[in-house]
Amino acid sequence: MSTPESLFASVAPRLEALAQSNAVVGPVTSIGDKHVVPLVELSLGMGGAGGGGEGPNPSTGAQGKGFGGGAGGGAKVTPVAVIVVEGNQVSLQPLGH
Amino acid sequence: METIDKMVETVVDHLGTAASSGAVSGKPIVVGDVTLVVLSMVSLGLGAGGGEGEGGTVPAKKGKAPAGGGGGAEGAGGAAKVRPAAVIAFTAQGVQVLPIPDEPGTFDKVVDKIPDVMEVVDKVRRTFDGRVGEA
Repeated sequence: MSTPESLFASVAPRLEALAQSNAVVGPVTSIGDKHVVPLVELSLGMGGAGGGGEGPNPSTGAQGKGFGGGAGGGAKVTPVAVIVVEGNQVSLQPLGH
Repeated sequence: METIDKMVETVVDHLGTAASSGAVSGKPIVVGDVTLVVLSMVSLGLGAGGGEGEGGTVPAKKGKAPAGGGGGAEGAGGAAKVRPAAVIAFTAQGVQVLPIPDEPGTFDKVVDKIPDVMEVVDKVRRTFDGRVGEA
């Protein structure tokens, strides 16, 4: 199994690259000289587990084995604010939850 | 069996290096006459653990060898977040910084706190180790 350190080392730079590539910035909508830019928040969660065991059947004494595993994940994209550009004026409209 | 102290040490050593948060600036975006730069907070937490155990042996029965039981399990999990924190706007009039108000949910608060919590846990562990050394 990979250690948290090695996972961390591979995931952290990708996340930073995601932020640098403006993944949190939505497509610009323009009407005349007015422009609207949505900003979103990205959340990710994941987990996995596995286990196995062996033991004798209490009545027959025969050895038995079993293994099991599972994994899950989730992702969420939430809009947090929009930037409104009107000519040289810039304002930010936060989106309440 | 591993002692509790050893287990805590292993968990803290693993988690301590596996959590962080930092700010990252995106590429400039040109919108009309204005250039925007988005600053994002990147948070990441990862953890893993495992264990194994053995049970007592079953005495030999008629014509059957003695048998023992055992089991093991491992698990890992992580969470990551990229959140826009502020926008820097470059206009003909000058530079504007527009902070984005934070309204975090419970889960977000937990993820944000992981690095702080690990610092505290590490401090407590060091104190505890010191006392053991003195005794």
